[in-house]
Amino acid sequence: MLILLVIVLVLSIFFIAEFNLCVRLRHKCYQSKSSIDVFLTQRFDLIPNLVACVKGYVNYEQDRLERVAVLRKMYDTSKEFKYSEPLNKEFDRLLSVAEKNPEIKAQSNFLNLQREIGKMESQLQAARRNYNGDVTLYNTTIQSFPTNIFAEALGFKELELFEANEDVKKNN
Amino acid sequence: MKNRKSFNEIYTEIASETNDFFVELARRQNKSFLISIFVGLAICILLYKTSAEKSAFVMFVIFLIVVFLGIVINNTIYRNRYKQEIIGRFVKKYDDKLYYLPKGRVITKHDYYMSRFDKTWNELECEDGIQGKLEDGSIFRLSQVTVINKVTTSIDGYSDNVEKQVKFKGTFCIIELANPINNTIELIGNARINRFNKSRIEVDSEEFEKEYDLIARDRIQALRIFTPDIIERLIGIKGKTKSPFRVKIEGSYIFIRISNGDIFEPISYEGKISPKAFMEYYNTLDVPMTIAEAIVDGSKELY
Repeated sequence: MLILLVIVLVLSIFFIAEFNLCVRLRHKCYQSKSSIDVFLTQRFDLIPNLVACVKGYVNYEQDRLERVAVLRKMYDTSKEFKYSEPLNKEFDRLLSVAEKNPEIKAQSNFLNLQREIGKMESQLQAARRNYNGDVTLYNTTIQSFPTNIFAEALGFKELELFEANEDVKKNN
Repeated sequence: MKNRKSFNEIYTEIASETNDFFVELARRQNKSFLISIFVGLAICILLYKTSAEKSAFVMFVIFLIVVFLGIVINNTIYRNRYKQEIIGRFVKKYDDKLYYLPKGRVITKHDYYMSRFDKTWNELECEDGIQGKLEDGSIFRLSQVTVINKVTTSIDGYSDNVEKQVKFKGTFCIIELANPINNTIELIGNARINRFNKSRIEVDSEEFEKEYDLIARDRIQALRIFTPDIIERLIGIKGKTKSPFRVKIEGSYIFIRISNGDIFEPISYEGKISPKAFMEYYNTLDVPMTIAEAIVDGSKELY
């Protein structure tokens, strides 16, 4: 009887420890994801500045601006990566247009903006790597034995890794 | 990253340049040994003639002591010359901006205190100092240090009992950064990995994850420094040292500590040093240098 009690106690402690670990790892993933969101928001905040640099030199259609505003709203509401990707594409397109134009490149406000973008890109990349690392550890933990026995039943679902979109892969 | 001579190049050059040194040293050692024998015999004869003590055993013991002292003195002189000739040359060939100071106190108590690697200690001994500048102007200082905690307890209020506990013995290196890093980062290598440490950063490299623990206050900034290129360079250290090491980056300083005991000790008292033995010297300097340069290069990303 005593042995049975000890076994039950040990199993309970083990179960609680594993459960708490999964919770902690999941929260770490959420925290990492919110870091990406912070830097993405900073990135998208620069779109109007980029448009201002480009506008005098390149014809930037009004409907395109409206589309960017809609995408921005969708992203701000949902914080899903799938809504950030078209915004990222638009941002990259604007930057590419500006960088190909020598007159825009010579502007001091564009140079400052470029420096700021460079720093932010580096932070964003680091935030994405941080998120992927945390998600990998979380997914590995919930899929490993014996945690996988109860993980799904208790609502611990696999999280998606952040992946670069196809255009970025093609360009690289 | 600075282009340096490879291990084979340095070893080949030093082996050929110091051949005469070893020949001369062997000659001097033989000469010193003979002198010790003659001095020993002379002292024994003098004592035999002048003192009442005529015991052959006592004379023999005195003779042995004199010869032994002669060998010890000779080895001390050899040790210092060896370090200047071999280690001094090696350091200069490795990087011409570095200087070797066999007895130089390049690391102070304050330097080790700033690292906070050990909490309770009160004495620091150092030898085999190397100092110089890295490519970006950061100041590099390295030394063999022995960190001791000396405790004096009073017995019965009359006599003192002194206990010395060696807390650390090995390589300690401090780099004063030209551009400070506003973060506290720790990199632990060749030690037990704690995968579930709350402050640990998961890095996107399986090899790196097996070898190192990376812990930082600002994780994003740490990953801006430890980019895939920098991680690749740190993975390259694997195999160069089996000793556990810790790296701390704090503000304007990088502290590196490798638990590898005595460094740059003479390996052989006669003939050339073997490549395997010389590799120990090379890795003792190359490992902290590689780590320091990787972090300095990675931190350029921040500016």
